[in-house]
Amino acid sequence: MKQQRMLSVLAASVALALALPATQAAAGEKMAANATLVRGNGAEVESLDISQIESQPAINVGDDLYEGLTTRDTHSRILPGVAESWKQTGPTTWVFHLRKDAKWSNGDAITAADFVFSWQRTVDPKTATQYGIFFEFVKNGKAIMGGKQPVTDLGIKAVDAHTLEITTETPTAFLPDMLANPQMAPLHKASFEKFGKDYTKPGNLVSNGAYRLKEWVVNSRLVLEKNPYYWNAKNVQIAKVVYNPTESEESVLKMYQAGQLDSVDRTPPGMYQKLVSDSPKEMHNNRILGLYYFSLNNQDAVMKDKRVRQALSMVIDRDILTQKVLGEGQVPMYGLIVPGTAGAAVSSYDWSKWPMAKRVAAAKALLAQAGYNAGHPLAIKLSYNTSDLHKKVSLFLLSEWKSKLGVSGSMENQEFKVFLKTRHDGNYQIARNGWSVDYNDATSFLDLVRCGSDQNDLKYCNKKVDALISQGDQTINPAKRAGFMTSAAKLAMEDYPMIPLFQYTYPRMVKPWVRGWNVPNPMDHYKTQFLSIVQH
Amino acid sequence: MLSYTLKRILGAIPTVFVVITVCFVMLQLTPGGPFDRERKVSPEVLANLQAKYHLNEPVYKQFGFYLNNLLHGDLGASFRYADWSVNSLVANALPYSLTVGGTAMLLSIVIGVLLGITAALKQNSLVDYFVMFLGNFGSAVPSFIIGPVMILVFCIWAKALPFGEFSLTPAYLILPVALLTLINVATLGRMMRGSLIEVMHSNFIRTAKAKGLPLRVIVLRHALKPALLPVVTVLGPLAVSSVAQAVVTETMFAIPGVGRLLVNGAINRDYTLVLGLVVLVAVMTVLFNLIVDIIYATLDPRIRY
Repeated sequence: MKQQRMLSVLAASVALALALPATQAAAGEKMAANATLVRGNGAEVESLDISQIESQPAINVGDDLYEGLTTRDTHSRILPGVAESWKQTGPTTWVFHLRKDAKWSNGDAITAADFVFSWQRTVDPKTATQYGIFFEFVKNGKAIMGGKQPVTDLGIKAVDAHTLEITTETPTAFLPDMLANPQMAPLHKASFEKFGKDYTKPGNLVSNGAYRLKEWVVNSRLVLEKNPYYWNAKNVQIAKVVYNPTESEESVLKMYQAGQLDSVDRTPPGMYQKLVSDSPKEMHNNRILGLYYFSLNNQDAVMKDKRVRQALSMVIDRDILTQKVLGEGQVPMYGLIVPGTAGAAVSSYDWSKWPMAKRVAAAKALLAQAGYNAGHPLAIKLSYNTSDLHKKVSLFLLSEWKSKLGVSGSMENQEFKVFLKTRHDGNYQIARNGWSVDYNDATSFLDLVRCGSDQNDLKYCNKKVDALISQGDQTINPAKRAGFMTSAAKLAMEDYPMIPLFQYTYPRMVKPWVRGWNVPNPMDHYKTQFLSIVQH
Repeated sequence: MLSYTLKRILGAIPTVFVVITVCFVMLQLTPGGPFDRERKVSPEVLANLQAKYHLNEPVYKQFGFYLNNLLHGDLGASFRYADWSVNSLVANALPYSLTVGGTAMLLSIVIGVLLGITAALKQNSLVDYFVMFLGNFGSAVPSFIIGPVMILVFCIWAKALPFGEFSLTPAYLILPVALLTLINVATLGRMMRGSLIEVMHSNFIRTAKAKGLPLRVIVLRHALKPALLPVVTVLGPLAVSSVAQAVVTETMFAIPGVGRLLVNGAINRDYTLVLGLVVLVAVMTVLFNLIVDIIYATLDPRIRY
């Protein structure tokens, strides 16, 4: 047991060597000098303040500006960041040894106290962070954010200038994975205290990542330049990164085609097949740890009957949905946990292997038992937020239910924020939903089915599932823990609280001279320091 | 004139106040708040956020805070863009919108009036057909179709113009200004043509013709002023509707202007940002209408203030 507790330090040098940009040029190619990468970045970033970063666009920029104790390459492998090594010293305690040559973008040395200051500031209720999920795993984090304890009670302690001790609420095997996110980075106390809210502005911001901020024009561009003080600067090839905020996927694609962008954050839905046949080498379709599903309101008068929920799930042909209707390489899903997730095995319904006719017959029998027949057909209402993708999927679902089970259905589309409120409040019968993990562990998905969880829009609760998750949470042995989590996911899905449909993919276009844009990259972080540009 | 202008400005204050109040109430009534996300925030986090933005106070107090800040020239902190105040967001965006919108407006007035005059004087000629075609085309084909076609032709196929990473340089300005000008010329040209034709058929023009005045003098000295009246009348609303057009064109051409802020503000339920922009548009509307009224007086001798 003790040996298992003493989870080893990552021998990352091999992985790091693999990730070096210098190795990314093919024979006969040369690396471009003074290379600039122009990235399409979706919407404007909401903030560069590490306590407010929340959206994918802001995380992308944050990944370049900041570095946590660990970092994550474009294969989603966890590598040493500011910490050169670490050790789990007890079920809930970890010790991180910071590298001595880690520096801020102004040349100051990074110390353990910078992490303590940063984390304590983020959990301070006065800071009002928008994204506290990671800190809920750190000892007392949730209580501090709730104003019940002082910030000094947070489970982070500077043992000396280069040693940090971190305590978690429960055994958290994925702590090193979580620490790679920009929200967990250190904060430069002097500049923060000098500039306050304006500390993130160009000229003020002192960061510790591979890049530093040069220019920021809202809705126009965000320019980063290589940070000469970064400890691994010699392995950073791209000298300048420009992030272009454009929401319209169509406009972004046009910019890419016009040669103004080197990468597209997401190609417009429905264009994948054409783009992949036009420029197969530029298409990078990443399967992420995300599940597209439809929520069933388990407390709704009709949906509370498990037989109805099961029948509705059984007859959806996920193969036709993913291959014919969507056609973007999505993987059909028959369970809660998507492939690639750490901490639990993927499970599927037995009937997923059955021929469709058998599935339909079984579903019809279930509906008949529930009291629905030709004379008294089931009528349902499906809600989704306005988007072509969701409309397509909703229409497909309704047609499957109509043609196979005679279910009559209506659709309702709502503006995004209105829809979120509808769903969070449980004012729906069947609603479009999607989930991508914040950290690579099964518990991120299990949050969707835990009784009373903030993320449980299903209004579903099974105490046995919760008991299994709690048991898993307290278990240190990874295999045993995964056993509990797998059982919990399986048990929950046997109650049919939702209709899982497919694993998300992100089809992107990247110019052929950009190297290191690997797929699959389950966590979907593409730090520019792990990319390179060859002469073109 | 001065007392009239002052009276108009004072009279506009209640109007702007009503607009702000209505907008504030509407934002409060819209379902879904600034902190609703796909990942629901925990009750602790939500409470902290609401306290930070005074959302835990009664609505009348929130409104009071807002008005008080507004009187001090502070449009508040953005709910979405945590690093920026609404003042700085608007100050950064305004030059882009004003340059694009203002250039387009000036060009449309010059081109629209000239085309309208030519078409009216040469009825049923090629120029006339062109103006009529342009008028119908500009009104019938929406900007969100013309714009992408322009981008496709000039930026992607011909690669003659840049696209993306907008800056205030001629190369970037050509397409959005051309698009807005086209739409406005359609309205102004048609209106100028119709108005001038009508004036040219009136009695005092017939008298002028009977006196043997040359056409140039008749048009410039007698017909143009009255014919311009309806055109001037639409300039106010047209200038304001340019803001609405900007919502489309700025998104299309990736211009970091006010229109895009407004769209994103509404999507994100960024209450302060939306309110700030509504105040701006309300003030602009009042201002444009005032300018139009003053121009009116110089054109029409019957109107005196």
